Amino acid sequence: MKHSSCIAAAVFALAALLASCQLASIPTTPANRYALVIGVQDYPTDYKDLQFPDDDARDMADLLSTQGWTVTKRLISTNDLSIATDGSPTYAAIESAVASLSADPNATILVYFSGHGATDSDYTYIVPYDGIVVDPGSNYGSNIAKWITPATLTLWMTAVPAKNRLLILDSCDSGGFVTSDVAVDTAPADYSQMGNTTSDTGLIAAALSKLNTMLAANVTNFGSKEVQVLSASGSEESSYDDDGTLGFSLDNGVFTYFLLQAGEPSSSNSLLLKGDANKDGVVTIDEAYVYAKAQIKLNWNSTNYHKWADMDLLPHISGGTRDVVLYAGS
Amino acid sequence: MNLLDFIVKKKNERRNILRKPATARLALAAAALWTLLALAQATPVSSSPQGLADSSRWRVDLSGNAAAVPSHSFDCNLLAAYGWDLGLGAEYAVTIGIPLRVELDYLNVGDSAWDSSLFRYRGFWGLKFAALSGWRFLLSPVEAEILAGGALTAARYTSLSSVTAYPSIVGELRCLFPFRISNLKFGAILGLPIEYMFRGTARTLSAGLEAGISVQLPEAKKK
Repeated sequence: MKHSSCIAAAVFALAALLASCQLASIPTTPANRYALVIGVQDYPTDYKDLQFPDDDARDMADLLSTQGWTVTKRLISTNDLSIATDGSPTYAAIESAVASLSADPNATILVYFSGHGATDSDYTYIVPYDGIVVDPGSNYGSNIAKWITPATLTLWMTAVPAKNRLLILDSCDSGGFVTSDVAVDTAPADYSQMGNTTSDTGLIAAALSKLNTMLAANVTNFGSKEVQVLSASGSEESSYDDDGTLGFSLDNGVFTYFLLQAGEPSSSNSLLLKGDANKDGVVTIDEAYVYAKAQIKLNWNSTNYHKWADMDLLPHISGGTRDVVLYAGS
Repeated sequence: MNLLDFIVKKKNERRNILRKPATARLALAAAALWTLLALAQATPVSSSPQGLADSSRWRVDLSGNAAAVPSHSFDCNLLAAYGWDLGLGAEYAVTIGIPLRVELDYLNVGDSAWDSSLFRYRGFWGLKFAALSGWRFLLSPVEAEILAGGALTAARYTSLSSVTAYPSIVGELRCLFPFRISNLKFGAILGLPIEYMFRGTARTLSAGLEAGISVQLPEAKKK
């Protein structure tokens, strides 16, 4: 046989593979996309109350409802009677609401949380309504048994039948939920400590930092369930409500404000959304992250006051192989 | 039905056949078998003085590769993606084979096609280091190599801050078309590199067409 046979065989094999790999257009938005929206603004003591989580949760639920999601529950603690709520966002209510998000193994589920976050030497937490208690001897008391760790929330979410799982957190230290054995998050835990000049370490240095763990996990994780996490801040970094220093009112948490903005119609083309970087008609969780990060850097971190007060922050996103549509268009 | 309609219908039928992954896998298997049969009838390099590396020599090469890079997972069928890479390689060639070949590649893979649940596999770029070994055959005047080995890749998801490192199994079928410039022996490379990547919840196959150029390092003269 001549060598041309080899070449022909190779070309034929490649052509066969290419023919089987057609990049199809975006499918129709399926009906099985379910979201749970949580906003903890008013805690049992006024001392720990926040300013905008009720607005964050309402606005996020309203936007998701127009972008291909069914909002199954709005767990919002608020004194604002105009904001609809399906109950108080206690530990038990959140656990129950997550468990009942979906019964469909092909579904996509999303959990959004705006409220307090915390960290200690061992764990990162989000703080539900009953994570703070009234303490007569002090301004407030912490009921840490009710604080929710990444492992607990991941356990709850992976127990739900679904194909895709998204978790969005607008809370302090929420980057601590961006944990993975298969990837390294190279964005800094505290942006201000990086001098605001760089956010990423080099490729090789990052890969070598936990090489054995990543190699082992990448081989053995086939068949496991991923939760894609998008966080407002790093694991040692606060997330902020609007403080009125930008000269215009955000009426939301800083991160949520720009995350919502990614799903608004573009000013130059009303058929596209602001966060739709590749103009394909949808905004994925990656695109929303890139948009919110850029806008926070541009509008919030750049102000002298926020730099001076170390109030700058940087959103984080988890590794993993999947990118999921967040805003599917109206 | 007029002639034009008939041609379009036949083309669509053929396209539909090729779109089926099972058909594509069968075609791949047939092509691989065909290639192996061809190589089995070829002449080993050791029996001919016309081989590109007719004695034990190092040679280095520079190549580019365009590839189909589909991924799948336990809950999702193959989703198409495409990528390319640029690579530097060095190999030690002896008469019966290649005891060692090392490669350093810069690679870039785009976002995949969409799953019906509205997810896709993220695009990524990175650096790959591979070590392979294999056999050489003379398909006069062309030299062929069949190589297999393993690789480690450090990759960053495009536009994100997440970095991962994953292992993969690599194989290559390479044809070298020899030519000389001055006293240097060169080879134009046409290859079919294949890689199977272990990427967490996903498994990714890369199969592409490679082109490049190889040069045999001159033997040092003894004093």
